[in-house]
Amino acid sequence: MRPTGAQPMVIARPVALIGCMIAFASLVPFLSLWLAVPVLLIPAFRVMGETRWPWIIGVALAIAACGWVITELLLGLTLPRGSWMQ
Amino acid sequence: MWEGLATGLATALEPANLGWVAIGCVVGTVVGMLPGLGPITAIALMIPLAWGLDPAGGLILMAGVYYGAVFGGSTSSILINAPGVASTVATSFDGYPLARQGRAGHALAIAAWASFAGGTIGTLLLCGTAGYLAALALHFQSPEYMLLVILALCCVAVFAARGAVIKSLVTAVLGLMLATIGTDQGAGVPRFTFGQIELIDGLSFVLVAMSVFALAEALRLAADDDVAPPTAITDPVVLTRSEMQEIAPAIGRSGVLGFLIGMLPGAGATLASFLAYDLERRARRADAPPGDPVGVAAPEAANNAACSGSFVPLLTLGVPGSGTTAVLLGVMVSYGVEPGPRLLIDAPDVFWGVILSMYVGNLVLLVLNLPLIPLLARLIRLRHVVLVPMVLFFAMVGVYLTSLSAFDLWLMIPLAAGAFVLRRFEFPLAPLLLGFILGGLLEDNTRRTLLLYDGFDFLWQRPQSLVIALACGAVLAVGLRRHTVRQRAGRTDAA
Repeated sequence: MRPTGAQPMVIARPVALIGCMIAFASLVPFLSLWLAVPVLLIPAFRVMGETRWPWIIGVALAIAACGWVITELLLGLTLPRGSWMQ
Repeated sequence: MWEGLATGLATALEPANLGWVAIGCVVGTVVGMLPGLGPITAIALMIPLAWGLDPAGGLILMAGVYYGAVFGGSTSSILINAPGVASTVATSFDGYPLARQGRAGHALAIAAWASFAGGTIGTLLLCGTAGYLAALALHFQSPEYMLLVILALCCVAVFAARGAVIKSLVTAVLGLMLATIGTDQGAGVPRFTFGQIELIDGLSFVLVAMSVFALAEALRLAADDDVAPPTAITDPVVLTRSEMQEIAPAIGRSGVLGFLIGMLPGAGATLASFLAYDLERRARRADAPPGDPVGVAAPEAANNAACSGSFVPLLTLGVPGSGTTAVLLGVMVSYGVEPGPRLLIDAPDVFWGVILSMYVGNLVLLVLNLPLIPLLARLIRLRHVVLVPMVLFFAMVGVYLTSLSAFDLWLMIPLAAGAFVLRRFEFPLAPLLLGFILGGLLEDNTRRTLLLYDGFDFLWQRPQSLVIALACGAVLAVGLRRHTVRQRAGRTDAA
C-alpha cells in the first residue's frame, strides 16, 4: 500500500519539522520555555522555505518575547526555570 | 424548561461570556478558513486559553470556536474551492462557481444568513428535545452506557469515514488502547507506563488532541503545496429580499434535516450537508448550471443545524458522536463537569448556558462576519511558510503551559508522527480521539456491567440494552456490507 501522493521531497519537510520538535523538547528543561521557542521557530520557518534571515530571527524572537510578557508578566504564571539558571 | 432557559440566557448574556463567544467566533472563523485546519484543530488550539476560564465561560468559548470554524470553512470553500472542513465541501459545488461569476460577496452573504438560520433552527430544536432526552437517559445504567459508547464508535467508523470502515475501526481501537495507559481504576495497578512516573495518570486529552490534530495537520500542511490565491470579493456582502425569499424554504428543510442527522452519532455535519445539497438539487435544479444560491444555502443551513444536533448526545447522554464533540467532552471533564442526564440537574447554568450561547454565537457570527469577511478572507493568503511554524508553536507551547511537563513535549512527537503517517495512509483520526476519550467510560461501565449482571444476562433483563445492542449490530452490518460492495466494485473496475 502506497500513501497517496507521497514523494521523497514532500516527506522531507515533515521529517525536518519533527527534528525541530525534538530540539525544542530537549532544550525546554535546559533553557526554559520562552528561550527555547526560537529554537523551534527559526528552523521551522527555514524548513518551510523562508529565506530572509532577519525576518525569521525577528519574528521568532518577537513571538518568544510576546509569550514571555503575556504569561509571566500579564498572567503572572511562574514557569519552570531552565536548569542553566539554577 | 423555561426556568433553565432563563438561567442559560442570563449566563450566555453575561458581558464576559459575550466577549468569549465573540473571540471564539472570530478565532474559529480564521482557523476554519485556513485550508486544512478544521473545527477540531481550532478547538484543540484554544484549549490552553479555555483552561483559565470558569466552566461556563470555557465551554461558551469552545462553542463559539466550533461555529466559527464551520462558517470559516465555507468561506474557503467559496473563495478558493478548498474547503477547510469536510462539512463545507458541498458548499463549494455552487459557492465557488458563484464566486467565479464575480458574485463572491453574494455567495458569502448567502452562506452567512443560511448558517445563521440553520443554527437558529438547530438551537430551537435542541432546546425542545434536550430536556426530554435527558429525562429518558436518567433510566440508563451501566449496560446502556457501555453499549452507547460501542454504538458511538461503530457509528463514527461506519458513517463518518466514507468507505474506510475497517480503517476507522482500527483507529478507534488505537484510541481505546491509548486510553488504557495509566493507573487501572479498578485494580489500582499501573498499566503500560513502562516505569515512567509521568504516565501514572495516563495521557492527557489535551496532549492527544493537540498531537493528533494540530501537530499532525501541521506536518500534513508542510508536505502539501500552498493553495491557489482566493477569488477577489468585488460585490457587496449583502442579500436582496428576492434572494432571501428564494432560499428560505430550502433553509427550513435543510435545517431540520441537518439537526436530525447531527443527532446521530458519527453522521454529523458532513453527511447532513451532502444530503441537504442532494435533496435540494433533486427537487429543483437537476440540470441547472452551477452557481445556484440554493446550492449554497442548503448545505450551510444543514451543517450548522447538525452542529447543534451533535450536542444532543453529548449533553444528554455524555456520549459524543463526533471528533469535535469528543474534544468538547474532554474539555468538560477537565472542568469537573460530567456531561450526561445529571448535567441538567446538577449544573443547569452550564447545560442551558452552552445551548443558548450557541444561538448568541450564531448572532455574533452574523454581526461580526458580514462586515468583516472581506478583511478576514485576506488571511486565506496566509502561506504555509507562516502557518505551519505557528501551529507547531501554539500546539507545543499550549500543551506545555497546561502541564508544565517537558515529558509531555516528548510524548507529542511520536503521537504526532504516528498520526501523520496514519493520515498519509488515509486512516481517519476522529475515531482515534473518540476512542481515547470514551475509553475510560467504556471500561468502567463494562467492568460494572459484568460484575452486576454476571456476564451478558443484562441483554435479556433490560430491553433498552437489547435495543442498543441490536442497533450496534445493524450499524456494523451496514458498514461492513458497504465495505464489501466497494471492494467488489474496485475489483471489477481493476479487471
